[in-house]
Amino acid sequence: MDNRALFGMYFPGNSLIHRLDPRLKMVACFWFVVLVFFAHGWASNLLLIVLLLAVIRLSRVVFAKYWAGVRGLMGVILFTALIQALFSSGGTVYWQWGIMAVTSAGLVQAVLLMLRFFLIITGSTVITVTTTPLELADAIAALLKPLKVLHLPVNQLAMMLSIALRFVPTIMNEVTMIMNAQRARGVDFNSGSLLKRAKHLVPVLIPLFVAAFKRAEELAVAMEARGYDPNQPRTKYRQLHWQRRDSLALAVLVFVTLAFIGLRIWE
Amino acid sequence: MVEPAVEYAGLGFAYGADRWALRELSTTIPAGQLTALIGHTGSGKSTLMELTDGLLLPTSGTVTVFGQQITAATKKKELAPLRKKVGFVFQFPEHQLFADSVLADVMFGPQNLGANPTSAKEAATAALTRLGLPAALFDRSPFELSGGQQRRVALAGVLAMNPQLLILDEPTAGLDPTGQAELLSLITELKAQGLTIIMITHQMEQVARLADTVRVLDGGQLVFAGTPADLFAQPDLLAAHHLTPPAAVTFAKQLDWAAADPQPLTAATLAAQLAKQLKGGTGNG
Repeated sequence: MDNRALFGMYFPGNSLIHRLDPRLKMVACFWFVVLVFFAHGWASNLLLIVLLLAVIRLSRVVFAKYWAGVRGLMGVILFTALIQALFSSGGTVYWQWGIMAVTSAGLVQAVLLMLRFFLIITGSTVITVTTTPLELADAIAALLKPLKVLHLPVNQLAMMLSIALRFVPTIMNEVTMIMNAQRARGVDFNSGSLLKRAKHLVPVLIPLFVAAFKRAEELAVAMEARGYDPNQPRTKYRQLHWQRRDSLALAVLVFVTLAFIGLRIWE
Repeated sequence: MVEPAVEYAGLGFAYGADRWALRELSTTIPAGQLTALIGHTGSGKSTLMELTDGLLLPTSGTVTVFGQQITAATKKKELAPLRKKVGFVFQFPEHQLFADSVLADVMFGPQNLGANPTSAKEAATAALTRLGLPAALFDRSPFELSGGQQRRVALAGVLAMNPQLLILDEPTAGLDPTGQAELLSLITELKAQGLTIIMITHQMEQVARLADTVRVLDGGQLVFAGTPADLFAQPDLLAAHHLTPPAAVTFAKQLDWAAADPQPLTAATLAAQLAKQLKGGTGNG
């Protein structure tokens, strides 16, 4: 099974971007996505492209890593852009057939849409490539903390998140094992119609769920046996420390946002 | 000379570019016998067995199973007949059970091999009976059965495919002593019925009691091929590969006992030899 989606993404390194506080990285990424949605003109988009390229450069991660993120979704991107190009109206009409038409406005829309996809995907890839899953879990837990006021069980959520991360490789191993066992019983996962292939997943998923439930129960008992009380306040082994470089990065982000707003007004 | 069921020739397998799990392995598995495969975690046992069942293809060298040769260039389609000949029972095979009823689960394998429902049902019933599962359990959900019963159902699921070679990966792991004893006598029966068996195990007592021949792997290489008696007569070899001989062997050695000839491998042989010695006074037996 392929677990690159979650784990292989991280590219070990010690660049400035790697060392930034994961909380900041998450908030910044979210903010970046918001800005992408507000960018309509060429100038504001150009600003975001420059910002992203600068961050990529600073992360010292090979560009192929980022490209891999985009490539996986290329089909969806192209399809959406095609729809956009064919069904938008306005401007000069180049080609028309029934309700479909290629217009100058449609083409501009399609290009902008593709650009938006690229920016968002690559922007979030920066995080997954430069942050370990554990750091990400810590950051999510820390960012959820204010929700405690609303009686959200933040500690429990954080625990669930770290347990889930811990068991991804275990479950992946189990999938491989069960698939091998069923292949040994004559299942051919790589042939047959789509329906047949979907049916082949039943003998994998049922044992997997049974095992997962059993494991969950055992883990719960083991945790309680060691005195785990979900309602107690917990200390953390890995502490997140806000550094000067984080403040600096935040300042850059604010500055870029101001410039962005300026460009939007000017556009 | 017993005709080989499986022949490995210069077999090598690497995960990824340069992580070799097996190197230059050449040996045979005699037909109709029980071969014990021993070695520590990471020694390449499981990889070797997955190669034997065509779940992996060799990186170099060949595997020949009942005349069918498998190399790096073998196509996936050609592996179907191989799966018919080889039955692979994984560790904790009860983890692969999934169907609504015991019978349906055991029928799964034969149906995958193209059997129609009637003959699949026949094969399943035969396999379950062969393993001593009462007919009353056939329509129950496999998840309701005890651990030992579940394991037998899983084993039946493989036997129903009527393999000529049966691979067992630590078949007794996690069973209670009664369950272990039952399973081991089942294995002996299956061998008596003419099946070739390869059994991965960590328990030297099982090797001594059941195996006709032994293959020891260490670090992806074959370090011993011979009979259990040969293996346990070589304390240096055992020590070099961190294997502990069965208690009977150690005990006889500690007695420094001249009468221990042939070397007792199991507690039963040891007891018989001791009894003979004690009754016969100081005689040499």
